[in-house]
Amino acid sequence: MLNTRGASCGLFLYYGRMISREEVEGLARLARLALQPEEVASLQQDMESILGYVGQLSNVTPLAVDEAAPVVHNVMRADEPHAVPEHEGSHERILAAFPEREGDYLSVRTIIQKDA
Amino acid sequence: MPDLSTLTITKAQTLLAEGKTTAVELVRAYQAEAARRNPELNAYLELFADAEEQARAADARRAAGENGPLLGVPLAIKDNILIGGHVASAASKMLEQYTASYDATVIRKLKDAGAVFLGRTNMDEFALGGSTENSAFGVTKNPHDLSRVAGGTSGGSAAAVAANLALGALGSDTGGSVRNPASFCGVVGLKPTYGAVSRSGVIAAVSSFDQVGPLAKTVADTEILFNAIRGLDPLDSTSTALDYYPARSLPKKIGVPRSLMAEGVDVDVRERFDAALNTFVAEGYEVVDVELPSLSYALAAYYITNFAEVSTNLARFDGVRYGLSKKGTSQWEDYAQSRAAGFGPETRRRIMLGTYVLSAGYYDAYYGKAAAARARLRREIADTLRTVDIIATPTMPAPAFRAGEKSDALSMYLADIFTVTANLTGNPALSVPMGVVVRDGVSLPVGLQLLGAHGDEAGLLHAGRVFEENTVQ
Repeated sequence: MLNTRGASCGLFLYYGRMISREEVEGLARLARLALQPEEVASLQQDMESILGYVGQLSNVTPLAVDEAAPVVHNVMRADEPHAVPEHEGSHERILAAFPEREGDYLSVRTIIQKDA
Repeated sequence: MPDLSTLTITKAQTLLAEGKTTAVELVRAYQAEAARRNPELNAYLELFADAEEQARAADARRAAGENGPLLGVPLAIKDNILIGGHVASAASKMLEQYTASYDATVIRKLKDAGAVFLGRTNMDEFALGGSTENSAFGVTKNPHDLSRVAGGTSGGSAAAVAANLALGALGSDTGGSVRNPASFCGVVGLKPTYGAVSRSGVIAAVSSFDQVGPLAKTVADTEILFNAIRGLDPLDSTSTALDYYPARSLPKKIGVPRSLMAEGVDVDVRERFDAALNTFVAEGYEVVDVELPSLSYALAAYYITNFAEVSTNLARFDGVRYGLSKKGTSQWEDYAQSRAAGFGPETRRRIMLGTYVLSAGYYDAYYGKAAAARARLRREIADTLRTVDIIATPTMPAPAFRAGEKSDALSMYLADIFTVTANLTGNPALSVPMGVVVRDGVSLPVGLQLLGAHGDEAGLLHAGRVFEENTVQ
């Protein structure tokens, strides 16, 4: 368990730091976004200034466990198939929205290659 | 045909019941007004061709003996709320041609009540912004001053009501997106308690914060809309029953976090606010100062949570099953090109920031800390609402700004200072017009925000009505 104060001191370094080009490109890979080169530079700048602002939260200490979370309760219910009036017609509309369709199937790029 | 500028849902209800007008006559009047004014305002992205047919159905129901407060009433619906068979684009190129496959629960409820949907209204793309400038289909102009923004993200809905292009509207509020445009356009806007209104069929922005909320000209009209859309929904496990929270007695005491308003609020906005408080005092309310130290962290906690949850909620838009679909030379490129082409700059920025704050090594520092700040704020607000009934501030620190004026993202975020608290804690909040301030010779509306205890929309609406009755607009 990290000592909160020690963690805050270490974490402060994160809040003040520059965001590198490589980091922005790495995040874009994770976020599945194709970025233009000039966009990378402007994102670096925007992200640094915005993260610098929100980074003031480093000073927040969490509440003690007993004061903290409100009581939550399980709202899961059994899955009961039934007709929903506001969903009438939805099946065909969903199929019609497929970018590429073969009958009732969604056509996608081959992902799993079979071994020869 | 009654003068649209003085018509309200309440008045229309009477006229319809007395046979002095019909739903068809009303819808034609609003369509004519929209044809005249929407080209310059851009409040609506689409006016529905079947609106008159909906109105005929409402008149038929009335002829068969039905009578309800929304039967035949023409409404505007924000573009992120699904109406089956109609386009719902969230004002984004990503969904520009997406046809909603089903009705949102709020739409089904309004259909049951016989309301007529005139069209879908403009918004900031995916509900990310504060001025409707982030729409992929142009900004919405403020009806009071066309050089200024209508506010956001429900700018189209607020402008439609303010410009008499609809009798009421639905918007959505994630960090102030119903109340901000209500304040800028001079109409009433309510963000319900988290869970009060179902989100089934509403395009998600921030699942911890989003609520659908009504906009209308009067508090009474707002209450009619709220009562029609609220309630437990088996299709939304985050929705709650009407009696989920204990009832409270009518409000009598208002708390003001003065230290939060010490700087950054326009002088004349503060003057309207102080005058508003005096109105309450004259009506027998007590007004006291309250201290909410955690409010200084509210914006930062809000935006970290916003970025994180937005990046997660928008991951579903990948060009595979629906929406804009571009092909690259690999699966990753299919996703990346679709998303780059479909999402605007603010959306891309927030996805990147969200991906950063949720990534390994940073999760505790950002999202974890934001959660801790939220917990503190929730407790402070709850404690404060044990000693006062309502927490009041101006809705926005200033009136509507000029389109293009807030060109950097951070300055846009900072304007949310008063509105984000209610989303962070789930408390309900109401914005009512509190007069005007003058900029460059033009009168611009400003709003008063009342924040109440969980489940106490009744208290807020009561206080709002008291204020409305005793204020000259």
